[in-house]
Amino acid sequence: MLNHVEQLAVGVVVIAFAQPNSLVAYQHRQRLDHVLLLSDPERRAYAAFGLGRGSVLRVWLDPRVWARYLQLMIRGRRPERAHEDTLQLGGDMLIDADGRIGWIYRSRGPEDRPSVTDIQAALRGLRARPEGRS
Amino acid sequence: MTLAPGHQLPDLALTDTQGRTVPLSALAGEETLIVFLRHLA
Repeated sequence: MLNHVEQLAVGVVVIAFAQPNSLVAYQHRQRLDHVLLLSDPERRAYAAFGLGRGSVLRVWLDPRVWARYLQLMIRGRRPERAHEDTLQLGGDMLIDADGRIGWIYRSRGPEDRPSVTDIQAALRGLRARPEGRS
Repeated sequence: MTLAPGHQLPDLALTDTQGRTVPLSALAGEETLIVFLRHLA
């Protein structure tokens, strides 16, 4: 999804709970030079947005997760060994120009991320609200 | 309190790849997609 966000015509900020020095290598590896990467090792922002940890069953043994990994491998991605907490879940948020949260998607599992189409729809909804315009 | 749509971004301080402190609230100014990653692998 991060490779397609340029279509959205919004600023993009990526937050991870790895240390800042690990993020530098990740940024180059993933070719994310166009986005701001921020480190949140204490996961205070994750907690503030209500992004929790999944169970071992949901994160590692759910067939939807393995199907997603298989899909990525078919596309040429090689999974690498994780050095951080693999149970931590992610999410996606849209913020308006006034710094107000417009939309939140909290992942329920590793493979559960909104598509670019989902985000575009959320963005349209946000822009259609009178208070969402700036 | 868990943040929800309609709330303002908090002043939580994060760190960029250069080691600089960036408060979340500083992201105001343009429409922004924030992506929270899982692990980096």
